[in-house]
Amino acid sequence: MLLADTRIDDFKTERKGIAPPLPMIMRLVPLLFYLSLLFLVVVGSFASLHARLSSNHRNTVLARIETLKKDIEDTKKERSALEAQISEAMDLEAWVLASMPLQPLAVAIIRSLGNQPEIVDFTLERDAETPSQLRMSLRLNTPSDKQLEQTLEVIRAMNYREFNPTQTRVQGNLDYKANLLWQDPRSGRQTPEERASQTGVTP
Amino acid sequence: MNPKQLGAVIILAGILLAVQLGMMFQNKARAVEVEVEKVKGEEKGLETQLAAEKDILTDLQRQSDELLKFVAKWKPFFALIEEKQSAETGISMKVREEGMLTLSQRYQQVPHKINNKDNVSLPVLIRATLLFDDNYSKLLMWFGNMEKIKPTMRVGRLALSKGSRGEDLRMELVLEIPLRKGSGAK
Repeated sequence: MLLADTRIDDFKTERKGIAPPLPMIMRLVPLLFYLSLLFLVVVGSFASLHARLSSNHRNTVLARIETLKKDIEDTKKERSALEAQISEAMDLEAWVLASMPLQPLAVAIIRSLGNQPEIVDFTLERDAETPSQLRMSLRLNTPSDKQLEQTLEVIRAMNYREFNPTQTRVQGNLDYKANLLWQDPRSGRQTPEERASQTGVTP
Repeated sequence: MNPKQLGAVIILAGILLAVQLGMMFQNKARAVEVEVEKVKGEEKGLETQLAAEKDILTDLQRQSDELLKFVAKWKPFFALIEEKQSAETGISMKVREEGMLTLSQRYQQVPHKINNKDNVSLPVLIRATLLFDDNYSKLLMWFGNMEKIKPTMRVGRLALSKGSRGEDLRMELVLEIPLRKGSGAK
């Protein structure tokens, strides 16, 4: 059975307390809600992905930083070890360069005197603070100073330079004192074999 | 406030919350990126530091190469502190072997100082003070021979004067043997 619309409407009871409709602009609210959900999903996903990639990258860089720190530490240790080696080497070198053999010098000085004068006293003493310097003291029983000149020539020929010389004559003896400096001890770094070959001169 | 308005407010709050959450995720990602930039900066600084350290080391190696090679040849000739007894007996044996007339011999262990400063690498000296009265050439040959067989030995003092007989000399000799710190002694 068909009923007319107007007649059905007539059956509706009057409803009380129905809220008045919201303004038209509020129709955008559901749309905005869906858009905000879309924003959350898209931005959240990208941000999470980005954060995870960045975090992985950060961890890789941190691992590289640890390796770099270790390398720096190792290099510093190597440098310290090398510096200790150099310090020891410098001490040993200083000893070697200042411990030149004295026998050839002593033999040369005695030989330079020939047979005429007589050595009363001859001393070579190494300066404790400056071991490349020697204090020489020579007392000769000779009437002439010529002999001393010859001896000094021999000393110079052996690469020693005398300084602060004093010369006195006491009771017929000629006293000569001087400091001897081995000239340029760093000019040649001899091997132990070269050094050994220099000494042991036959008197 | 009617239910429709209340619903609208709740949905608006949901929108705000969703946007806030989205922004929070983005800020978090940005913060991690900033941190990455920071550690990258630190890495760069450390790379520069490592390069500088390596340069210094290379320079030091280059500068010290000749010195270390020179000293390496001499090192075996330096007696170690642990060998002090043999250093002393080595000299007294050589004195005895030659059968020279020895008036006195004295051995001391003295700290090695230069300008009142301890020598760290060669801390101890064996100092032998020997007094001979014998033939001139025999004495000088022995003296030269000692310098030949012990190239690191140093003559601290040599004093020659007339001996008791015609050709004889009285020779006072102070020999110094440095003792090196062993690799284990630090």
